[in-house]
Amino acid sequence: MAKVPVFKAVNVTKTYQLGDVEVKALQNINLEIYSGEFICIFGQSGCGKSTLLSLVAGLQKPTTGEIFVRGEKLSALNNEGLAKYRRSKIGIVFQSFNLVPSMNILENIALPLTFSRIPKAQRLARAKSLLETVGLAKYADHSSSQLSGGQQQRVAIARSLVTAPWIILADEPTGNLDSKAADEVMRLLISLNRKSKRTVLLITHNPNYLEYADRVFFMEDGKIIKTQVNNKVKASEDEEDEVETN
Amino acid sequence: MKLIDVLRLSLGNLRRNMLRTVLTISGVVVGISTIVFLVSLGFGLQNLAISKVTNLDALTLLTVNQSQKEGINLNDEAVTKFKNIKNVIAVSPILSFPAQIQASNLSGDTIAYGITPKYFNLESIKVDYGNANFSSDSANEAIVSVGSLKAINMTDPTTTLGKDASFRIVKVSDNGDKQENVIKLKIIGITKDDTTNYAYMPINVINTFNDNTYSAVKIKSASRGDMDEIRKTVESMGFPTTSVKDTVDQINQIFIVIQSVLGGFGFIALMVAAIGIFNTLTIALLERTHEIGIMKAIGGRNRDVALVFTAEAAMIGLFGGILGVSIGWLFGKGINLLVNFVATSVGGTANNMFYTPLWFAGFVITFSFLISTIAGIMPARHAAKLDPLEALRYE
Repeated sequence: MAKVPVFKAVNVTKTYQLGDVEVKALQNINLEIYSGEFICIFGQSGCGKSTLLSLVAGLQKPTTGEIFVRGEKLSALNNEGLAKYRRSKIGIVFQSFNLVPSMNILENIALPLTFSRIPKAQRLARAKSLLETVGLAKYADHSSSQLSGGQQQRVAIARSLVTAPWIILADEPTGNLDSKAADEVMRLLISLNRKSKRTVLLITHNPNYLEYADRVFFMEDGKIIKTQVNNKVKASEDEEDEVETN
Repeated sequence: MKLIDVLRLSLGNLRRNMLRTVLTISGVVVGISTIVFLVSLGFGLQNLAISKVTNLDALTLLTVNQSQKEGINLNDEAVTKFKNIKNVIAVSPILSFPAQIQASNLSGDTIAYGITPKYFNLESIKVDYGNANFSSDSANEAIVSVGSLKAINMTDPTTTLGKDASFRIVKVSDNGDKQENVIKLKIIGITKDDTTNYAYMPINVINTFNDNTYSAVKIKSASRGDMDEIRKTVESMGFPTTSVKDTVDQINQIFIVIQSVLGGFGFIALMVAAIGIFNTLTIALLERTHEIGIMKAIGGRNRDVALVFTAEAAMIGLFGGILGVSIGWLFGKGINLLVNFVATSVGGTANNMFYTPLWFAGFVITFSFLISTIAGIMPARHAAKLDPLEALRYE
């Protein structure tokens, strides 16, 4: 029996209308992503990789084509359904962290569970355990502005994990970080994939990260120009810090 | 999202922008307190006006008059019928005649009322000097107003009480025949009223003409609400009736107009406040666009976003309403105190010019809550409909 891909894009295009100019952000994208894979989508800025991620996250709809999640059409979901999809099936990590400034760290992590109507005590306990996982337990009461970029991104990863999703979408998560903080965040993502078998979709323009991926999609001008399969044994695995996520 | 979490988030947002929240609530407070102050003044003046006309007890009292129609007589038979009407707790017949009060060769005009002892209770008549009531239905006693005593120079209660006076009772029948009887009665009580001339005496004493028809009958109902029903029954028997309620109804009608005008001013102030709420939320919407984007991206529903905004507006309305009612009420109290202080210092009497019924306070708070919530609906909808991706890009 053929494996059902977690994500499948079929002839996906996305065009924006900027005044009189039609911008083709994505052209004829076809890809399949399978459970447990670590996928990199690599390309220079403006190549359409973030657009692709936002389509997969259900934050916008493709102009033509269809995205399937576990065989189900994403376009079949209404706003309510998309919200539920985002808060239960996927976890999103953004380049700019996107923490809510008026809430403390713990509340930020617990926020998706708030939308899922999980009682306060329960969701804060879950948030706390994830905060420990990302090594920031003592910052629970701090506001996001009191944390460094790397710390904020680890908080954002903890938030993306709080609903125990089976897929993590990371849009240039290290883009705003110095190399040391970037390493920590990458270690965290790799460990999520290796240790807890989560599917990770990483958008990046940093070629150094490509070696961690099972497969890399190279993008240029809204098209996938090359797919690279890394068959090598993941040698770096044993060096990673163990990260427990559940 | 649970309601408690919606409230937590909204409260957090309101607290975050404390100054703006306080200013917006102040707008509501000004509107609400104006309404409460003005309408309470209206209520207060209304009560004052009614209390000057009558007391609340009088509103349970119905006066039945002799019918002009043939064959319908206000007699003992009718009185018995009245007593049997549901919710009637007392019936008291009255015989009244024009009369002259005479003593030591002086005489003056007055009106003589023949009444039963319970009449004093029904009408809440205050006898200022001497006995408050007759010793029996047929005692040779009279209770008179100071006004009646002026003509016979007996206005000093201390010397007048216990003295005798003659009353020339005059009966003019429909065909113009005039009958007169003189009765001698002991003045046992005096009322302070020096503007009206009247004298009360037991009904059996005044009925020297052996009349079987009363001038009027007073009916007391168990409560104010029973009045209309009793009145209908009595009138269906063919008797015309009058009640202080008629006057009070007229006063009330005038005050409905006054209240509407006063409340209208307050309403305008509240509308301005509602625009303020709208404005505040619209600005908050711009400020929090990015945050809304985050909420949606991590799984917040449109409804959750809308609820948070609506709850903020509703809370502004609720806080503003409660605070506004309190301040409007206190302001009224303050003004009343000041006016009474001035009034009593120049020899006037203290009055309650302000009255805030509890139902009105509740109504105004609910009203403020609703208006604010409505003002919040549009910004909330707008927030809910924001495109998550665009909202995320918004800085």
